[in-house]
Amino acid sequence: MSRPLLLNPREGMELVGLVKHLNQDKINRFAGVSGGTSLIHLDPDFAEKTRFRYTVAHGILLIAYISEMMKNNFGPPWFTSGDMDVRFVGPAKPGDTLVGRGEILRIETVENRSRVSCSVRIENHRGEKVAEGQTQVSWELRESKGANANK
Amino acid sequence: MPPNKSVDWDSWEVGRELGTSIIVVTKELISSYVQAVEDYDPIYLNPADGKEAGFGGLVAPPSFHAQFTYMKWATGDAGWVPHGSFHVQQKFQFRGIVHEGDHLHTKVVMGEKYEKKGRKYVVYQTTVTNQRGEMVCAGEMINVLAS
Repeated sequence: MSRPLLLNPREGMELVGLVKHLNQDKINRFAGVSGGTSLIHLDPDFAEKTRFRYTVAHGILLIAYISEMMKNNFGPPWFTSGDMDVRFVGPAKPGDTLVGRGEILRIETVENRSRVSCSVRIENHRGEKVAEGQTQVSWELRESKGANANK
Repeated sequence: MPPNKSVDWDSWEVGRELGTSIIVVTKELISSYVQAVEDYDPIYLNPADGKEAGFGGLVAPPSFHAQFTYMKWATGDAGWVPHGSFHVQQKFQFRGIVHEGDHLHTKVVMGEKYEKKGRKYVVYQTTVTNQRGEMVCAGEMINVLAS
């Protein structure tokens, strides 16, 4: 595994972001593995009659992007202590370039663990937010959160 | 448990179990998921990389077990999410590493329902445990029902 990108997290620090180029094939592929086969994701004719007027990506796909960003930044602790609470505030549609961003809000010590709270969001290439929320991740103070932290 | 085809506001019973399923995590399932979300971290693709990283072998992304089992029920076969409803919020707690070969047992129950600003919200609560009974993930999917 690549090492965590944030080796020395500090309050106010920006997370290393992530970019995804969305298209209908990718939405279809995600529907295939997840079983999320609602027509709003897959059928442009159906979607045209909805308030969105076009197909939209699964909210859970956006969750996967945020989770990837947290894993990239914090490494193994995200697998065993990751918390996320994300609201879907706008549609992500085929053709969008999605950018994941985040910032460290707080770093606390709780019961011999270092706990990091972040704000996270995904924006499209027009700067419109499609998802936003909070995440938390923690690790024991005596542990490194590096690549072999779970040994 | 057979899928429930009549989930709606009036029939929503807090605490009622909607269903369970068991999925065996295979290298192929992990690979398919990784391609779908375009996270090609080698720990998801190569057992040696997973081992070197301290995971003991091939692992699945944290979001793998959370959504894979969940969505298949929610909008695939079961019809649990009423047509026209919107997924507006999602919470997850990741609490365990999932390896190739693990058996994931997922349970979904009806969480709270509430009204806010004239809209009706329902919460689907999911827990995923492995073959040792360890919880690896808990989630809440919050949906607004179509009016």
